[in-house]
Amino acid sequence: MPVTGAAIIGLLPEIIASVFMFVVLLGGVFAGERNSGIVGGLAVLGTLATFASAAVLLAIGFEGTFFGESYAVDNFALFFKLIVSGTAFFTVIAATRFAGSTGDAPEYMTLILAVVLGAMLLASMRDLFGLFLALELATIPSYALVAFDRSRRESAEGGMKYLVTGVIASSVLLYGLVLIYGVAGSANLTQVAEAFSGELTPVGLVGIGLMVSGFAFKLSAAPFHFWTPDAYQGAPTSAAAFLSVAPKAATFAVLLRILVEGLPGATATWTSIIAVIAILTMFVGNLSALRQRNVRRMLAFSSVAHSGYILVAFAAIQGGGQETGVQAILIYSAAYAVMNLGAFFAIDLVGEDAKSFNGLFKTQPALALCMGAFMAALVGIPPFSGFFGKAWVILAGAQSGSVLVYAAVGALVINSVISLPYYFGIVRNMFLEEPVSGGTAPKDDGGVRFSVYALAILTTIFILFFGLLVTLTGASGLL
Amino acid sequence: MTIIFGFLAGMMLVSALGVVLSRNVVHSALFMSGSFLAVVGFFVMLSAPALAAFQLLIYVGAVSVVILFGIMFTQSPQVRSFSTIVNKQVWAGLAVALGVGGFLSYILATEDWGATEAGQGTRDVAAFGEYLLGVGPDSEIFAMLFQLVAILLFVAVIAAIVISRRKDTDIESASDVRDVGE
Repeated sequence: MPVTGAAIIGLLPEIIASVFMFVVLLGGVFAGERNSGIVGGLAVLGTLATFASAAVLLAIGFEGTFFGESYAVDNFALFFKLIVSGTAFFTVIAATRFAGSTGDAPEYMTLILAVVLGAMLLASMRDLFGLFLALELATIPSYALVAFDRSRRESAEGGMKYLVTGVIASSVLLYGLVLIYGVAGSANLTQVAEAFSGELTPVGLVGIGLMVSGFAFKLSAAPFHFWTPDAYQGAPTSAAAFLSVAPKAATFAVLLRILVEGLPGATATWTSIIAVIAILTMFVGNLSALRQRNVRRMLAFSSVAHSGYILVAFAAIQGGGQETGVQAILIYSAAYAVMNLGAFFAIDLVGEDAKSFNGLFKTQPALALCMGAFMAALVGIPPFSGFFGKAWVILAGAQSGSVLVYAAVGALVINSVISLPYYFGIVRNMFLEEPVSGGTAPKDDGGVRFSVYALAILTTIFILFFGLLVTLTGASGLL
Repeated sequence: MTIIFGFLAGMMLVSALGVVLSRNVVHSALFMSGSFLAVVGFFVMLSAPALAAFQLLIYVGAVSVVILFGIMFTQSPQVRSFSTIVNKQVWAGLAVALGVGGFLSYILATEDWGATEAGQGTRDVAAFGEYLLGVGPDSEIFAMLFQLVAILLFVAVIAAIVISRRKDTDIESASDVRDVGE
C-alpha cells in the first residue's frame, strides 16, 4: 500500500497548511477587499493549527518513514516544522495590516502559507526528486512575495533579480542532484548512501560540488549571496523577515539530511568544501554590513554572515563533533529565527535609515529595549538567544579535530568582533543620540508591535527553553 | 532512434541559441520552452517517462508561463527588446562556456555509470499512470509528489497573477515614472 493511515498522520502539518492555503484564498473572495482582517485571522489560525499539529506529533513521539522510506517524520523534521510554522505565525500577524493596504491580502497570505508548506516538506524529504520539488514550492512563491509591493520600484527590481539568480541556482542544484542520482542509480537517500560509501568518482565529486553550490545560493552563502541585499531591501518588511528565516532554516535542514543520511561516505569532501564557504561567507557578510547606512541592507548582510556561522557547524560534523554539530545547527536555527525575525519587524515601526533609530529610547523606550535585545542577540551576548547558537557551534568545532574547522571557528570569533560596530551602532543611535525632529514616523501597526514584543521576550528568555531544546536535539533522530 | 535523437538535439541547440541570440525577450522565452520540450523528448527516449512528465508539467507548463507573464506585465513595450549577448565579453564568455562544457563532457564520459541500468522505466500509458500515482515498487513517493506538483502549479499561477496584477492607480504612477525617465 503506497499510502497508509500513519502516513496521513505524519503528513498532518502539511495537510493542514495546504487546506488553509485554499481556505485563505477562498475566504478572501467571500470576505471582500475591505475585510482583510478576516483573511489575516484565517491565516493566523492556519499557522497556529500547523504549529499545534507538529507540536502534538513531537510530543507523542510520532516517528516513521513513509512512501517507501522517502519521507521521514522524525524529531529532527518536526523541530524544523515548528520553527517554520512558528515564524510564519508571527509573520502573518505582522503582515495583516500591510497586506490589507495592498488590497491583495488573500494572495499574500496564500503565498506565505505556500512557502510554509514547501519548507515543511523539505525538512522531511529523503528523496532527491521530492526535495527539489519541495524547494521549488518554497522558492517560487517567495519571488512573488519579494515583488509584492507595487508602491516601491525596488520591490519589482529585487523580485526580478531574485527570480533570475534563483532560477540559475535551482538549475545548478538540479544538475548536482541529477549527477548524484546518476552515480547512485536511485533517488532515495538510503541507496545514495550505499553508492557513495566507497571512493568518490569525478562525477560524484562534481555532483556534490554543484549541489552544495546550489544550496549555498539558497542560503545566501558567499560567493553566491549577491541577490540577498537587493531582494531583502525590495521586499515588504514582513516578507523579507520571513524569507530570511523560515526557508533558510528548512534548507539547512534538508542539506543536513542529504549530507548526513545520503553522503556519510563523502564526509571529508563536503566538510572541507563547506568550511571554506563558511569562512568566506562570514567575512563577506560582516565586512559588507559594516558599510551600510540602510538598516534593511545591513540586516540582509548580517543574515549572510549568520548563514556562515551555521555553516561552520556543518563543517564540524566530523570526528568527535558529529552529534554536537547537528545540535548546534538545530539550536542556532531556532535562536536565529526569533532574533532575526524581530529585528526585521522593528524596521516597520521605526524606519530603514540608521538615523531614524536616533533617540528611540526617549520616544519609544519599550521598542528601543526590544531592538537592543535583538542586536545583542545577533552579536551573541549572553543570555540572549544568539549566544547559545554560537556557543554550540564553537563547542562542535572544538570537538571536530580538524585544522580547517579550527580555522573556521577562529574566523567565527573574529567575525563576532567585526560585527560589533554595526549592531551596536544602532544601539548607540537609540540610546545616546537625540531624536531627529521633523522626520515622518511610519504608521503604528499593532500586529507588528505585538510580534516585536513577543519575539523580544522569546529572544531574552531563550535560556528557559534551552534545556528542552537540548533534550529534543539530543534525540533528533538524524544520527 | 538516431534520427529522433538528431532531431531532438538539433531542436535543443537551435532553441538554446534562439534564447540567447533573440533580440525580443518574449521570443527568447518561447524558444526556451522549445528547448524544454526537446529535453522532454530525451527523457522519453531514455525510458524515464515520469521525469518527462514532470519536465513537461513544471518547465514547459509552469515556469514558461510565469516567465512570460512576468515579461509581459512588468515591462513596458519600449524596453521589451534588448541587445543580444554578442558584446565585448563574447570571447571570454565563449571560452568559459567551452571550458565548462569540455570539463563536464570529459568527466561524464569517463564515469562507468555502473549503478544505472538503461530501460528501467515504462512506456505503457496505463502503467505510467499507476507509477505517477505511486503504485508499484520504488514509486511510492510519487503518490505524494503528484499532489505536490499540483500544488506547485497552483502556487505558480498565483505567483504569476500577483506579479502581473495592476490596478488603475499603478498604471498612472507607472506612466508618470516613465515620463520622468524619458
